[in-house]
Amino acid sequence: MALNRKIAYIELTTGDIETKPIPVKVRNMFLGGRGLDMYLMYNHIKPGVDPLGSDNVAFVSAGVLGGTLASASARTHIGGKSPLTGFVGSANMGGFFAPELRWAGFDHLVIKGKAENPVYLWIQNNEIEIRDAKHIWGKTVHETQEIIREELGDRDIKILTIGPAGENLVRFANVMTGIKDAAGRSGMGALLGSKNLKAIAVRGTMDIKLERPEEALQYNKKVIEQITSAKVSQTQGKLGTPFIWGATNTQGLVRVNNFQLNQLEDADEVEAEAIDKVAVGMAGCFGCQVHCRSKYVIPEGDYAGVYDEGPEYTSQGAWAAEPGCRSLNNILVCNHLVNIYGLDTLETGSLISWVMELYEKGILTDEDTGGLDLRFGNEEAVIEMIHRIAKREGLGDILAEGPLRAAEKIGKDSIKYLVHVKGMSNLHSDERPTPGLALGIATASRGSDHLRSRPAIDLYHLPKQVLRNIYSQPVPYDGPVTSDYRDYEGKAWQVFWQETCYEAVDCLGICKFHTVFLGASLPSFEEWSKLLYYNTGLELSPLDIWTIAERAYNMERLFNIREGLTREDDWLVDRYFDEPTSVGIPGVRGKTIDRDKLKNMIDEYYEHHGWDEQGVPRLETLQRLGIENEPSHIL
Amino acid sequence: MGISINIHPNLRHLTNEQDVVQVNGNTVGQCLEQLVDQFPGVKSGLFAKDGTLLDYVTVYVNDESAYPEELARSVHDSDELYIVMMIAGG
Repeated sequence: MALNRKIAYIELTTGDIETKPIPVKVRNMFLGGRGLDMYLMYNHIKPGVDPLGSDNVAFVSAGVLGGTLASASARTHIGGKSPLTGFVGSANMGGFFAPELRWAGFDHLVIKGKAENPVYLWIQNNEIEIRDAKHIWGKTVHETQEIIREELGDRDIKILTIGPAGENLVRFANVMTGIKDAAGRSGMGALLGSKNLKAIAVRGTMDIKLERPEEALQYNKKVIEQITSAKVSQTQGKLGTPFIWGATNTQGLVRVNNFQLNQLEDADEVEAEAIDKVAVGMAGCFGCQVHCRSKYVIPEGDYAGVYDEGPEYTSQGAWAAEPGCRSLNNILVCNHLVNIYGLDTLETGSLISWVMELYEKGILTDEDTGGLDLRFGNEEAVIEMIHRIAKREGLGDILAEGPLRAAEKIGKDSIKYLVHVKGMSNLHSDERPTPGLALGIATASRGSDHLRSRPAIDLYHLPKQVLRNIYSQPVPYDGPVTSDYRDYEGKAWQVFWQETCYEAVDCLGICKFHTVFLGASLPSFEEWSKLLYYNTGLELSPLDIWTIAERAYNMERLFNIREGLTREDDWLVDRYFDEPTSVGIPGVRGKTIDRDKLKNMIDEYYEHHGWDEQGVPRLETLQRLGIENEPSHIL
Repeated sequence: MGISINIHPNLRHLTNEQDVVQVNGNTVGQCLEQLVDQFPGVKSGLFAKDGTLLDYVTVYVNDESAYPEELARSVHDSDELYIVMMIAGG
């Protein structure tokens, strides 16, 4: 059956491995994926541990629908205490790893201790072996996967790995799988690197027995039709996530030259259509019909002829808007470099653009940069900085420590120009004209982030009744809704709702692009309830799934509070309040976030959660969710 | 009566800041043509060179998406159209 996959506890210091079943009671509390990982994190990570010390614990998991007939049930979750923020570390990637892990008999890996020498895990049909990885230490993400497949003699092995950045403990290093699928936020690659764990290879041939296979097949076909018939899915399948660049840049909703402008002029080569011209096709993840990932060959320069995949919208921002660059080739090269080094494209691009602003303001000198001319638009300097960060050389070594530690080392008011929340850099989006999106990044549990709670459809201008239909299910809501993204009212509920929605899909293991993140007609709690029932036999109503997601999010909040988070951490840097947007369409020009209104939104957001005015879950909230006695150490 | 077109905030600087524009027509396409007649600047914000709606633009008729018919979708007196821009991703 679909629920008989196990948890494996792997102690790298001693080599001990233990496996346990996952009780249905725990499934009903947390499902799997990110949700169950949060339970495990709160139970297995002792308060105050060094995120790069052997006491931190790494968690790798599939969602409860992973590898079933549910559409795009491909997501792998990686968790642990973040080396970047010191709070919840949590990142999620597509590809093919999670289904293979389930077919090999496991849903969750709990990885403790530290190997004496570099190792990788080889998992095959209920067996786990710790193998020497000295020969692949230092290899890139792409090389590592090739070498492991070669030595194990099976091209169908799926691998997650860190690159040199993770080995070098760059605090925003990724865990990667395939060519470009990245668990790319909060430094989970550094966590694996700190354990001398280079990679996990998995091959499984153990079928997942679906509870009601015929109904699962029929219902999933219906859901696929629901997804593929939406215009937004079809556009994504044609152009990938870059399709939104043209609109957001035209409006003035992107950060340019770090945070000094909000629109990149003369940027034709950054457009999705320009990327499409060099694309050689589109790729997709397991069980997905959308195929939103471009495949490309770098057309010119030092890397001409090199194959890679992407770039995503995030990389258009990281390698064009933020550092003020404009060539397509630069975007493709930078995207390739962060993929092979295993770096968070978003964090890396944001930090490089930050030091470019510091350089132009005279806070950093040629001596500080090792002679590198870090003026905005210098594409060669941007590429060189990626190498230096991954290898921890010179200024790159300072940036590899992440935003707050780097600002402390650089000093001299450098922190004034940093764009972060909780010590994690923001996407290249500019939220000054969009209060709902600003609230989302201010409160997201893993730091500034667009995939934790962003009410992206707030930008759409959907009819109010459509919004009300979305936001009043599965829990009733009769408060305000507004179709105008510039409004403040009703946005606290939107953020709370989307946050719970994204937590739910991360427990299920399906892709956010197949949800109301992207479109009003895409699947939501009602569909997930049926998918769960037909595929796994779990009888959970839409409201039950909502409650599970709420429970898991409260575990994240408890984890963060235990690590010292306070209300002050749910806030934006001063630039959002004090520096108005200067360009873009009239409706977004001259915008800042209003401090008092943001404070009120946060109060309301806490209230929706059942948290007190300091953002601490009230006892009755924890009791309602059945987690008042955590850590309970059931697993 | 006629048909109301609710203008996306990103296009209102092209409609003299009007958030609702009144038009007449039997299809979404005819209504948008009338909108462009009144405010020619909105054309490039709605249409691709081949005359179809841009990849990230769609229209809701009352509370329903007009896709896939889109421009051919029939409308009736007192219907409300919403210009929607699908600008989400990551």
